[in-house]
Amino acid sequence: MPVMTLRSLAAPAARLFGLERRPRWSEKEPDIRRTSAALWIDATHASMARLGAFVRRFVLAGNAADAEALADRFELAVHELAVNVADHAYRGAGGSLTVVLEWDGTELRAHLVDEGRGFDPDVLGPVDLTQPHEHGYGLYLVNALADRVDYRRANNRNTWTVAIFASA
Amino acid sequence: MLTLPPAEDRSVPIAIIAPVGRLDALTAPALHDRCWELQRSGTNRIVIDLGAVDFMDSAGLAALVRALRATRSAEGDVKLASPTSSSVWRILTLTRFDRVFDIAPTADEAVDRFLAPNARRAGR
Repeated sequence: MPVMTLRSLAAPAARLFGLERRPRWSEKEPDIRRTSAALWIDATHASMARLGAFVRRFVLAGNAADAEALADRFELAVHELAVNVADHAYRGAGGSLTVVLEWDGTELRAHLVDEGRGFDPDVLGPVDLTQPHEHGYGLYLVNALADRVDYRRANNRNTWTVAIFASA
Repeated sequence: MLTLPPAEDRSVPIAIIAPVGRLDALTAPALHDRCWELQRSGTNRIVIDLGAVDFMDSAGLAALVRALRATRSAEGDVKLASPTSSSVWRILTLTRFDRVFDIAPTADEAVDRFLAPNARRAGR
């Protein structure tokens, strides 16, 4: 099972979730425009529209170039991970899902933290794009849309991180 | 000039479904149900007009695939129309659904393609 280093998780958010590792920024680095926001939702399909609106507002409020296209990509990537949590980590029964969004002027990140069942990456196989399928596109889309996708399980929590490189 | 479709086409219904808003894990079952009801009543040629869909996810794709398989197994088809949203177009191309489905610029064009498939091929 891949273990990610949460070097990108902002220190306050990491402290909040007990996931603190190594802060990405030192105090000597220039203070470019950084923003973060968090949303707590019940991981159900009915919550996804609210999550999508939250993600879009966050991206469009930032100073990223081509924000509309970036919002489209980021919303779908975060959405697919959140649906994956709802369907597989909580098996449709709902449960706590915390979504932390961060923008530092170079990378847009989302951290999704849940307390459901762990994810086994070995169950994933390559997606055959020569034929249409009813299942298997969710994480394929996340990987296709994002520049970085990480998964970690610790302390009975799953943390997905999805990031897209962008410029201000 | 008056152009009439072939007689055989007039006896076979074509349905247009035009969902509005988000076609996602929450709403895709409703699209699936609507397609299933149509197929059960003998309508196997369906146009899904995506012009008013502003967000689609993998569950939306699954509903399209189910409809496609069911209609094609009954010698029908599903055609998509007017995926104007950039996010909808992106998910169709990322998954190569744009190569699997016949995608028309408008619902009327999609209906025309059902009615005169040979004419369309000749025009390509």
